[in-house]
Amino acid sequence: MADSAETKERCKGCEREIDICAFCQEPGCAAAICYGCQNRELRQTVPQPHAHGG
Amino acid sequence: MSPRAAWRLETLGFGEVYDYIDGKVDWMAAGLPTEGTNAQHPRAGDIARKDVPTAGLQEKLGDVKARVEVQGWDAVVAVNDQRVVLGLLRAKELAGDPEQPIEKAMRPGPSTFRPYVSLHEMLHFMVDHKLDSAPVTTSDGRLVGLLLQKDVAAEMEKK
Repeated sequence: MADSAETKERCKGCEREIDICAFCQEPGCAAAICYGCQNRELRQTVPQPHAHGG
Repeated sequence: MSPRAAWRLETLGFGEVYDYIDGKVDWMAAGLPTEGTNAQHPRAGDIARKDVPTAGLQEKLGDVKARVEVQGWDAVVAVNDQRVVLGLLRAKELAGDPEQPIEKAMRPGPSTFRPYVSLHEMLHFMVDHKLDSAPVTTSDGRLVGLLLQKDVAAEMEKK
């Protein structure tokens, strides 16, 4: 049976519960961030500028 | 650019116009050249160390450690024969059992970053997360180089 008391991190951006920091992958990271927020902050992904086909 | 923009450029007399289907971000992620104001700022791919040592999954940790220490490195990127990043070994992982293969010793699936990420943002993240190095790859996972925090800080000081 899985240990339900496992410690989780919370993303500093969206406050969502995450298993581990997406940037450093170190448990207990004080600046833990989820993959989505990391990519937005580093601009590794860009939001679609408009809904139509371009 | 969009297909419509490509067609429009052809009507304006440009002879070689292509629709890069995967988009501008993928173009930049491949480390391909760009133009414009932002293109003048150095980015992660520009200063990532291209000479970072690499190792195959089946190599013995002790052999790899000895090889890279001679070169003055305390980090190794584990790659396959296509140079796709499969793992990362920093000093902590390199200090493991020298008899084990890289596959067992490495940190699998490390976070990787695209070549176009700004140095300012990377430095901010690396300091906050106390990370000395970060692998830079293309969007299909091929190694570009290893970005060192000290290199980013030195580059930012030039400004």
